[in-house]
Amino acid sequence: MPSSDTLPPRPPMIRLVRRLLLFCLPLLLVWAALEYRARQVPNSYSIKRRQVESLANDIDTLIIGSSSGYYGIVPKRLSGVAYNLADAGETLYYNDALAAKVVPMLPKLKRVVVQIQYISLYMSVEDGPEPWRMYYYQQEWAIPPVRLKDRLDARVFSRVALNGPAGIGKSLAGLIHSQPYVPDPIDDRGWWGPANEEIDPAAIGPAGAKATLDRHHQYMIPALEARNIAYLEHTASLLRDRRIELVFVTLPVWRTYSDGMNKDSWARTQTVVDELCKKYNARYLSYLTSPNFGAEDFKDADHLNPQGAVKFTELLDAALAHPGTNRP
Amino acid sequence: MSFLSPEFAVFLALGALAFHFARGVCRRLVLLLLSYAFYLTWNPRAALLLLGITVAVYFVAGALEKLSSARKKLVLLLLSVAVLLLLLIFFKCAGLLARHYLTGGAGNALTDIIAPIGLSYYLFKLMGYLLDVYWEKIPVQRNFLSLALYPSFFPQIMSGPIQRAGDFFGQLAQLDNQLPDNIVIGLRRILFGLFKKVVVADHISGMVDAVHANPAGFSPLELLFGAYCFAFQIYADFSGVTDIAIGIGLLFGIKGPENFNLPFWARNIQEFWRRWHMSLTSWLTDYLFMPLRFSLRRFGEAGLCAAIFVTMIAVGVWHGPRMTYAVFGALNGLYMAVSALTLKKRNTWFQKRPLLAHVRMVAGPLLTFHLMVFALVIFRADTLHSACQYVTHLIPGLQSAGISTLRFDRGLLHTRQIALLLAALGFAAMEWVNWAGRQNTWTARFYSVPCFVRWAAYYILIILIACSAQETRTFIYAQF
Repeated sequence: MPSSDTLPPRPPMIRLVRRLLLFCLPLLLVWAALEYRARQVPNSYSIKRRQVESLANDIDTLIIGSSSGYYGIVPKRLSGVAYNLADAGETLYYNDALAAKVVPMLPKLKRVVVQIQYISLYMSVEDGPEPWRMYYYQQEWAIPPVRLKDRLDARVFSRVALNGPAGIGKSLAGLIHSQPYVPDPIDDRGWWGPANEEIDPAAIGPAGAKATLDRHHQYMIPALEARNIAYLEHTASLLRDRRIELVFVTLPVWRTYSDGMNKDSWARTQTVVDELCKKYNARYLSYLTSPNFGAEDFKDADHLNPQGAVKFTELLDAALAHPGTNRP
Repeated sequence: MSFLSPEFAVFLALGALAFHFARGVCRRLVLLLLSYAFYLTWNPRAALLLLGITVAVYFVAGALEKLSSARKKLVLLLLSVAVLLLLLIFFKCAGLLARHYLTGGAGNALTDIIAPIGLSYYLFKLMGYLLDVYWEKIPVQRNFLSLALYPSFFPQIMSGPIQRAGDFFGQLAQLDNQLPDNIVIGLRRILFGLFKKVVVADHISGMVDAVHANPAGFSPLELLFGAYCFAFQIYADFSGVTDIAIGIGLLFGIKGPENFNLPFWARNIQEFWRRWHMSLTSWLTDYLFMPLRFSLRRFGEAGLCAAIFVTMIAVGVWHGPRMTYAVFGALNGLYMAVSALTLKKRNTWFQKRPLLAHVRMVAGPLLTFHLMVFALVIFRADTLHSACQYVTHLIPGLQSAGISTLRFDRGLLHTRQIALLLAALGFAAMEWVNWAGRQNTWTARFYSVPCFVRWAAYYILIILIACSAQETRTFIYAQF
């Protein structure tokens, strides 16, 4: 054995790599701890996933859609055991992917309510105002983003990267204080129902509606129509193969919003849904301009408030109970 | 893929590993593959354009060497430089012109034309290469791999610096002699660049955006503060991305040129432009100002002024087809011309008054800084109208009714006290490090402190960067 004096000097590059690894080790440990903590923080996606898994053997009606459905359909007011899987900003791609994931898990499922709104055929999460949502679908539901470049984004894999610096702060605070983080108020059937939400009259006024419509029109891309129809077709055929009833539903909007809608786009959406209904023996219940709702039923121009949601769900329940009802 | 994204960190780590395991020509191949992979993440069609231009330049440079007739050589050079310039003008202006004159604001295929990212940087590199070959400053690069790597080198393609061909090819030939020290220096530069961008520039960017979006809604004090902040923001942002680019280059054995040398301490405007965006200004000095100055030498001072104006307007419009950039360039041309014409006389005058010369030592940098702050207000404005509105409302008494001169509303400025404090301390630290890094004594002191102290400083920087990182992942100079 040569003595240590006679050993050849360690190559400098290897020494550098060792020092770099040593330097990075504490950073990686902190990152791992933050990542662990961040994944403990519940969000609407994780809450709904856990709730669906725990209610899997009982659910007979599943609601999928975007914020209008999330706020506007109260599953407990529907007959049987319904679950509201809709979430804010959820587009038809994610509706379809969620249906494909969840429907096989629910042995008693008899009916799926798919919410269709003015923007449904023309929106995508990746081109919309909240693209970060696609990373939550990947992390919580293993639904990959549509575009390849989004699938390679660090936020697909890391909750810390997804939450950003504010999230890092929260996670650090959580690590230190072990405080639970309380997200949106979601009841045990997936409905977003805040008990004491303040109603802002300006939100349903013409200016509020115009601001909402301007935002929607900014993100409505006509070229997405074909892709979104394909997702709807896929959902419909999945349900037909499993002999599960499909009901398309359009929730009410306040007149300041419906007056500003592009009539051609909306007519096209209705034609598409009607054709799907014929093809897949589905029903379409549209309450877009239903006279049953007043200003007091809306939280803003295109979303019902809890009172409106209860009223709407009771109407919906009655319509669902009568198979012949179409376009009430 | 932005330098600020976590996925870029992974890309860089894997790329550096692949580079260090490779040897000889494979290192260049790895670098080229990495460069094109990086560029493809921005826009695949733009990568095809880059490749096409590189192939064309490769053959033009070969032809420049082979042609025996000086006249034919000149014609070929002028043609090829004109084509490269036209490409730059086309991509920078086509969308804008189509929107204004052809479609009346509506969208079509022409209006959707956007300049590929890094176009201004790599076209200037290739033009410089052709000119250097023509002037026989450097030999023709016969290895296509090396030539293709020059414009596409991924650390520099997004925001420069504009490295000269001779310098780049010289270092490329030494790729196998990569020193571990370079990697450490490179990593330190990257960290420092991230600090400048994320902790200094990004903390004041919201405020700058707010005051420039609606100057009429702010008080003179808020506008003045916004003007100073933009000067600090653009300096921290641009020198940050330059540090990152130089640092990444060092990981791959290529040291890029410096772009900044404490510009806000310049004693006069000429010195400022020798310290600010140095790679562009030295490029324009060598390839535009000097030939112009030479050809206009018989016109004396008028020729000098003309050469200065043309060069400075070129500096301005290099940023894009906007009137504000042209006015920024012209204004700096005016500053430079006045400074150049009076410098000798001023020096003589101050030599005779040594007491005032001391005052000049302080007043010179202050005046230069404020002249640049003013010019940068025009540079940052979206339109000339907006720039005029900003400047008008800066004057106390001319602000909008109901806004007091000294109002300072942090809510309206979209900023918090802690963000301002962090940015201010960060800027001071950044300038101190920039200064100390140029002093041998401070560099020696830094290396003599125990390793754990240095590591603690790095960890503090990393924590500050992680906690300051925002959603925005773009650098100001990436848009040019």
